[in-house]
Amino acid sequence: MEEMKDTYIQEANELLENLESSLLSLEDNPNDKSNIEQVFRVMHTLKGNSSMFGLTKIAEFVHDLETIYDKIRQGEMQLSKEILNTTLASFDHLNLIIVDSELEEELNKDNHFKLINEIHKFIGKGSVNSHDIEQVIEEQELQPVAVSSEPIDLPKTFHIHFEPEESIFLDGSNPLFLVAELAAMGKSIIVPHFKHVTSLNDYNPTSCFTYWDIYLESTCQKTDVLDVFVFVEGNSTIEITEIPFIELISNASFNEVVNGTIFKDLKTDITSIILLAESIGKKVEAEPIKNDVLVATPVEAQKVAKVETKEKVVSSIRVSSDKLDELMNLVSELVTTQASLTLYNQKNETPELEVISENIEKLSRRLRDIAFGMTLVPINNMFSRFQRLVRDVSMALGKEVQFVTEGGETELDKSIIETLTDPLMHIIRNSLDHGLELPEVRESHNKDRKGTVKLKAFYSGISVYIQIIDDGKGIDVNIIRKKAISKGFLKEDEVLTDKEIFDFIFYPGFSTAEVITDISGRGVGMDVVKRNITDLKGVVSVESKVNVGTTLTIKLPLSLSIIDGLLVEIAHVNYIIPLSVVNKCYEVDNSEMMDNFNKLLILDEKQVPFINIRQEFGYKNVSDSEKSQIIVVSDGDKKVGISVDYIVGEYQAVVKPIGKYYKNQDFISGATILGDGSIALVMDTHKIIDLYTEHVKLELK
Amino acid sequence: MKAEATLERLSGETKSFLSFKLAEEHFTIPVMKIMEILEVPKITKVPQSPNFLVGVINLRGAVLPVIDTRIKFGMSQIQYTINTCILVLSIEVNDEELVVGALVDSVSEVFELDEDKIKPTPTIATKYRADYIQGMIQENDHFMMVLNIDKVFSSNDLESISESKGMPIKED
Repeated sequence: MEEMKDTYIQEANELLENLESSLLSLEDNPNDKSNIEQVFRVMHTLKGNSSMFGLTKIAEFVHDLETIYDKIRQGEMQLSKEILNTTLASFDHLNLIIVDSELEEELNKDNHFKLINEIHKFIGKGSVNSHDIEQVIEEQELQPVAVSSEPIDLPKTFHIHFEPEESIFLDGSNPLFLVAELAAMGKSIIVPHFKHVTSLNDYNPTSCFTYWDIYLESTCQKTDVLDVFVFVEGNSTIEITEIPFIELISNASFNEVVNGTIFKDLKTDITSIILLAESIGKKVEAEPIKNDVLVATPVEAQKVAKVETKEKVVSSIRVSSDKLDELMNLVSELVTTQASLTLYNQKNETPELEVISENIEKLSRRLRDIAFGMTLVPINNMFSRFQRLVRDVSMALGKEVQFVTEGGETELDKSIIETLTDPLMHIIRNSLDHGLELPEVRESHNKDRKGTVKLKAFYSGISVYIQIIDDGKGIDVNIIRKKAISKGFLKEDEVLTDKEIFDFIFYPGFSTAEVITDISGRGVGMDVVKRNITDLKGVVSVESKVNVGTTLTIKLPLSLSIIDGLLVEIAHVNYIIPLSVVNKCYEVDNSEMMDNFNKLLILDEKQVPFINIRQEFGYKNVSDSEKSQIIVVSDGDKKVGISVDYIVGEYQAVVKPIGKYYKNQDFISGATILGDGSIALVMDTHKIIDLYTEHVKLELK
Repeated sequence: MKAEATLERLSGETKSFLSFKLAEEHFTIPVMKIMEILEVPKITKVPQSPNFLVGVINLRGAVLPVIDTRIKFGMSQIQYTINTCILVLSIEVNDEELVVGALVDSVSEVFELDEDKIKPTPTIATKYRADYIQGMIQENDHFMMVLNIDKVFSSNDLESISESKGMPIKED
């Protein structure tokens, strides 16, 4: 959780930097529409981020601030000097409170309500007595403190029994990280237990047979301990017991007793532990909380937190993506050069050279891995961040949601993932808010009470597709059409395809939601989404069916990606077919292909349509040899054969874009450099099949 | 870039130019635009591409598109000789840098020239599009055309020349 908070603070700082520069230029040029939009968008994102992390105070504050700019944007209000002053003051305030999200510092709190009042004056919410709000908020704030009987600063001992289910590894969780995280919270004794495995035949290396008893002495609350397990709650048994004694961890006899069960499949009897603790530990004194202690402690804690964030920032550095790109280029050049060295060595066998060449191969491989590791991260990192969002938002909306992720291992550029987080957050929130229906409504439509939101990522050719699929109420094309007409984007009599109509969703200021909620509905989300994705040179599209659900697809080109491919030759040109789509290869006689009216081959007793690539690519119809290879590739549910001259073998290809000049040849998704320095073109079989289908249709007409 | 060029023209600064030949005609471009000159390596043709796009080559690990400059200028396809080479050009299209290889028959020389010496092109009687030519210079007894290579090789223009079936590019 701490790590995520850091990410939040880092992102918020960046957003605020953006905000400041936009605000300052607004001051010089108050009528600049694009700057107002920019300010509004930054605020919108900041609001989204804050509520995602449960920082409601900041989110509410920004929401009010955003409302002003929404009105200015809509032309309902004029930007005035006063508004700018308040905004800048709010900006300074935001800078302070992103690390003090609960307004624990007196000064921040005072400021907060002063500014809220000022903002409310602008948006006409009417002045609220600052004292009233303050009291209400203060009461709210005091509540959690009042509920917990323990003073915050006193240490306690917890006994944590953590027993992950055997399948825990399957969703990528590593229980050791959680144990380590716990250990970092205070003094601890960690006692691992192994489940009894009767015979080696029962032992499955991908299952987890370990569980833990952890004794933790820490000043944190039980909820903090529980927070550590937030992502594994579903598939582990977690029992947390507070032992009302301290100074146990350092006690030798206590250690001896609890360590006695180490590695044994023995459930610890907590009552006997408490009895033991009573005899040796020091009782926790439940002092009554004094008021001043309450205020002072969080401030101190917060100071510590500040120092920590500073330290953490130093441990990573920002490198311009240009430099990384160059590094990647040099590394692939090195790999290529090394491939030629190996090739040369194979031809002229010199023992000394062989050693050198092998060493270079090793080094360049390691260098390659590190370089790729720097730029590419599995998309899973981002997916897991949404778990929390979905949980919180669906709870706030009273909806039951199952959140499914697929293809988390798909790797993407780190910078792309960062830029994608915001748009995806918007989309998921939209799906939850507008897409999914309430449980009762779903039941009346004969759907499962629980709605599903699925986040799916996969490669196709050199592109990565990310889909957000919900099974909610879908989007009605007619409603969008009407809305587009009423907003003046579309003329009454214009005829558009459904796809084109769905594209209106991405227009600025277009929202079909009737009510603006805190979560979504201002109609900014989607145009920001579109813009962010266009900035990444990606494409976004929507498909939807009423009552069936909505699928939003983002297609992103990869500046650099590595795919496993099948290297083939067609008319003396090398091509790569991504291995992920390849099903099976067959050899057929050319004559079979030539006199084939139906364009169907019988392979393994099944009829398979095929594409004569030579014909499609405008080469001579068949190769000079008598046989061709048919590679059966899958395209969605379809299986299609593609003819090639030869199959060279498997090849791990670093795919590079072939540039703007070839944007009409998009069935070639990129190129890769082979060991001998020549180039192989990477096919996008999906596009080739599309293209072929179009041709056939045209011919039929 | 444009502002810079204007400034230079005003002060009449000396600049380096490279001259090259297409068939029997001489052309020249500012050296600043040329990143390097290559011998012709193996070129991989991309299927179904317009004929002035010769293919792609491996430029030390990067993939570089190569254009047959002769076809681009309405001449016949280039004939490979020992002198044929590729100029690796860095051009600017819509504020974006684009690297492209231009096949030429031969390169002649690098020379320095006062920008003042570039004379405006006669508006009539040129067989090339006027916006491709920045001006003319006289070298001994022959004229050389100074090319505006950002224009010549901008992919937008390629679009209009090629008979490709795709949608026209949207400017956004």
